[in-house]
Amino acid sequence: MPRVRVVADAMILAAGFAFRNPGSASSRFIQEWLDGEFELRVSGKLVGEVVKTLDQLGLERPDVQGVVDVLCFDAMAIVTLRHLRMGCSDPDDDHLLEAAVSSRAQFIVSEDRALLNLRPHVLRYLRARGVSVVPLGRFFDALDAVRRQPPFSCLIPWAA
Amino acid sequence: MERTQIYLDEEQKRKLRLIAADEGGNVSDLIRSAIDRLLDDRFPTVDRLTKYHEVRKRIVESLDGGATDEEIEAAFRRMRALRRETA
Repeated sequence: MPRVRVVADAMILAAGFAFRNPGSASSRFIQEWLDGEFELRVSGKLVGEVVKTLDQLGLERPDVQGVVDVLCFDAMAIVTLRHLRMGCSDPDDDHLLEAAVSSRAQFIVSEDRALLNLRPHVLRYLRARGVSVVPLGRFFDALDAVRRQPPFSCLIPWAA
Repeated sequence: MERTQIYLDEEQKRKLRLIAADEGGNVSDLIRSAIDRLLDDRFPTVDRLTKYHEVRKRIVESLDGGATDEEIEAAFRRMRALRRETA
């Protein structure tokens, strides 16, 4: 069965490495990905954002490099060349939407209010391409629902 | 190894030959390494998780001052807000 393809925002990825609680939702997200429960797609810009975020926390270079290694070797790297304006209220978020659309991801996972409350026309654009923007909790619910599906039901376009 | 025949279109073959020439290898090696990557992805080993836990442990230990997850999350949000203000 084809696996769910996901793009996550930098804060979730950074938190997955920096939070103390190994049972945090961000940590669970990383573990489920590494366990093969879904495919994570990352772009160079996204990895750069994670690096910047961890740098600002004051982490040493080798530690940040460890994160980059995990992300770059285990995630599916995608190239976003066009730097399109996708209509996010913060243009710096546009690359996430572009990454999701160009990699045919079903989910953008974020806890950021600006991304979870996109303008209606942006949402319509994403929905038309099968992309939903969801917080972590709803993503895990959706993942559970996919796991419960019988074989071949993946042929039904469930990410409406 | 077992000999296996596959069909590739002209464009795939042309690009593979380009990469092979550039890297000094051959097309068969490229195809095998692409298959290895696919299989590693579909059949993840425990190593990926082990590596993640090692990296995470190092980071958590090196974050001085014993910041809580809530404080780290707040710091992330402040960084993002600052970025948006200065954009």
